Amino acid sequence: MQTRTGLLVWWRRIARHPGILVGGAITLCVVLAALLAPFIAPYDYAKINVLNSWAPPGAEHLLGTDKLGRDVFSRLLVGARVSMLISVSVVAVTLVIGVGIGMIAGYLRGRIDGALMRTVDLALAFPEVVFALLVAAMLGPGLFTVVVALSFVWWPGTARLTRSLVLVLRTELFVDAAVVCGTPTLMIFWRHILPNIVAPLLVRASVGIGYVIMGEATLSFLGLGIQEPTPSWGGMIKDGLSALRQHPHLALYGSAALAITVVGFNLLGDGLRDLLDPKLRGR
Amino acid sequence: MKARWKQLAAVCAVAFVAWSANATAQVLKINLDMDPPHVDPILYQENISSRVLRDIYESFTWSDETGANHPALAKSWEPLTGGRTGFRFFLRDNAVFHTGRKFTAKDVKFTLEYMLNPASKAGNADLLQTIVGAQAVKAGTAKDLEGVKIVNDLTIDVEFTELNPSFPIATIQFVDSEFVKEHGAEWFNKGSAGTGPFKFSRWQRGSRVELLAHDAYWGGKPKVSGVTYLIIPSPETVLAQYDANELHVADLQESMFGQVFTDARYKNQLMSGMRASLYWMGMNPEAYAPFKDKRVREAVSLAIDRDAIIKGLFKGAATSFDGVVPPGLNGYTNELPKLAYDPARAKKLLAEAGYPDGKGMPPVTITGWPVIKDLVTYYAAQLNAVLGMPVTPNIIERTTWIKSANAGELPFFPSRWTAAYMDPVQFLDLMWHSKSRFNRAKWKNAEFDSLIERARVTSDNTARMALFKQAETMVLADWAGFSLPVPVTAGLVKPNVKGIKSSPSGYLEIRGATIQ
Repeated sequence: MQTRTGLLVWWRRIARHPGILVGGAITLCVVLAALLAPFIAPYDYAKINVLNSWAPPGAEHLLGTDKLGRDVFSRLLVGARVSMLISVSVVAVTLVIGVGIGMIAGYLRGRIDGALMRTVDLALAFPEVVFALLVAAMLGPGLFTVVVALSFVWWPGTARLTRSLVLVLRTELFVDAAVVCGTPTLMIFWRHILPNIVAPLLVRASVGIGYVIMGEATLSFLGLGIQEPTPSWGGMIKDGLSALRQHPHLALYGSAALAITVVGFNLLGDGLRDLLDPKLRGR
Repeated sequence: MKARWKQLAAVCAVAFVAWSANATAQVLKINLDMDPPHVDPILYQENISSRVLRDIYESFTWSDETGANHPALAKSWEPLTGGRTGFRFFLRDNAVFHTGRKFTAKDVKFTLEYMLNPASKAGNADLLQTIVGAQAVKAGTAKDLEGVKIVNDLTIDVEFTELNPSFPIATIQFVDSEFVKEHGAEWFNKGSAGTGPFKFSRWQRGSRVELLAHDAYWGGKPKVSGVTYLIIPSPETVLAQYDANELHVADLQESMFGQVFTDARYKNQLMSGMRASLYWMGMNPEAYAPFKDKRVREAVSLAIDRDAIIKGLFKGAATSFDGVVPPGLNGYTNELPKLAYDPARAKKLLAEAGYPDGKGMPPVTITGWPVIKDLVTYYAAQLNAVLGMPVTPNIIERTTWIKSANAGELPFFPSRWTAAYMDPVQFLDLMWHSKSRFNRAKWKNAEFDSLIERARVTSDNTARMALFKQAETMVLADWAGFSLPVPVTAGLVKPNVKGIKSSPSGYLEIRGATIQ
């Protein structure tokens, strides 16, 4: 009874935030598309048919074909898979690194805090495209380059957020009590600090996915990211630009997919922030 | 009184604007895909630097839009006498360098010695190997090129150790010896030392290369005051700038053909012509073991649908031929085995070679550069689909591609070759002789080498062409490489611009341009 009542309360809160509903619906659609792409894509994304180049949207090809006669709808679906794979990987990596460094810096303070935060500042100084160029020069363009470049750019923000949250938490009485009781530091991190910073990190993660997807599209647009024949939304937009006047469908559909997905994750993130912020509860 | 001064200032301002608009209106603006790697006429030239330098520096001869050769800096030449092998060149007496100095025999000798000096890293030094004394200059044991003798200011003898009948039409771009000596190693960035109709003025990397008309050009002062090459990597931007009248001539990449050839707006502004180039597939057996088997190489050719490429990717604006000496050249023949699209036979050959449906073949990349990304992707997908060959596309920056290809590092690659002059030696010798540094597929055949070496020293044209035909047949029979569809040369030219011609060299000829 209590659980059902608790769920009902949460549902009522969610219903009061249309952003979460819309963002959640979009996110769910994108995730499902990514997961089910191999089963629902009507054509092999890499199958070429140059004699059917730039076919307009129609019955045979729902969203038309590209220059090599490949089905755009199938490539958008597989592109969603690629985008989700990269964004989840980057967010996971940056959470591990950023949260770890942020917690250590915020809890231990002193010289360790200073050294770690200067490292964060240095990492923040690198524009993602410049860093991606360096990584691409060393490793060659591709999926791994994108993950490395975007992880390097995204983790400092997570570290800073975590540090600021930990700075507040470490002054709480329950943390002092744990210290006085001789609880090991790692146990304090795991039992007392981490559970209390999950909510804002969750918000950052959901907003972050949107940014990472945009970042991956940018790198692929520049030729540093996903390579042929694997589709990426950024690469598809770039390919579509060469025929924008006569065959706008490729660039437009690629851009629409990207925009809708990023908006969806941003709405979800904003909604979660409002939902989980105790100061905003009851609104 | 004040009102009068204001009126005068306004009139002066209007006059200045009109004057400056008029002054810049006669500069021909044309696009370049990227920055040229350099502006040194002595270094190896690829397509981009060639386009810029060909109107600045000249050779003994030049070729017109039909590929025919005409005298340029040499009015005429005749064979040497007295038992010597070579030519006596009679130089043009009214050729003047951009520096104002007259072109003389001293500059010819200087340029040849400079090219043989290893420090110059001359791209065409191979053309001079058989000049008497060339090896000593190359080795640094002599400074004077013994086989080149100045008879007088306008006459020079060039003696060879063996016949070199195509030397007069070779692309050797002569430079002002005084300018080069004065300015040292980086002379080409400090000014213009050629005799061509345009002189190098300025290069803003990433933005433009500016040339000015050479008023004292022997062929007559150009009718435009200069040429500005705007560096525009993006084909879409080229079209946008052309439409906005910021370009007089849009030199089109083949990726734009589909759009431009079907757009009614450009119908009367489109100029196109055949290109005497070879687009071919390189398969390097030293870098990928399956290519050691001729059957695998033949299977790759049979799996490629050339008609589909011409219709689908080039929208009909391309042609295909069966040999490796393109149409338009003396020595071209269409009496060669047809290059077929035969997937069934391709699979059979691959299975016979021990790779049924591609099983057992190590993964390989097919490497191209950004402009041909679609073609590279097509080839990879087609070979995957037809043969099961585990090939993935790999796109790298063009200058890196050229270095890697010339070094024999690429296992599998589409390549292009446009002759510096219209002779089969430019294709067969440079591309497949085992000692040529442009033998990118690293194909070796001693009998082929022998045929080419004999052709180099044969002066009788009929006999020479017969040798080249035998050599071409050998390349094709061994599947050392095979031709791919060649797009036409195409460009858009504004209606008020006249005198532009497309040439088989693959470039648009602009030296006769006028802007009305």
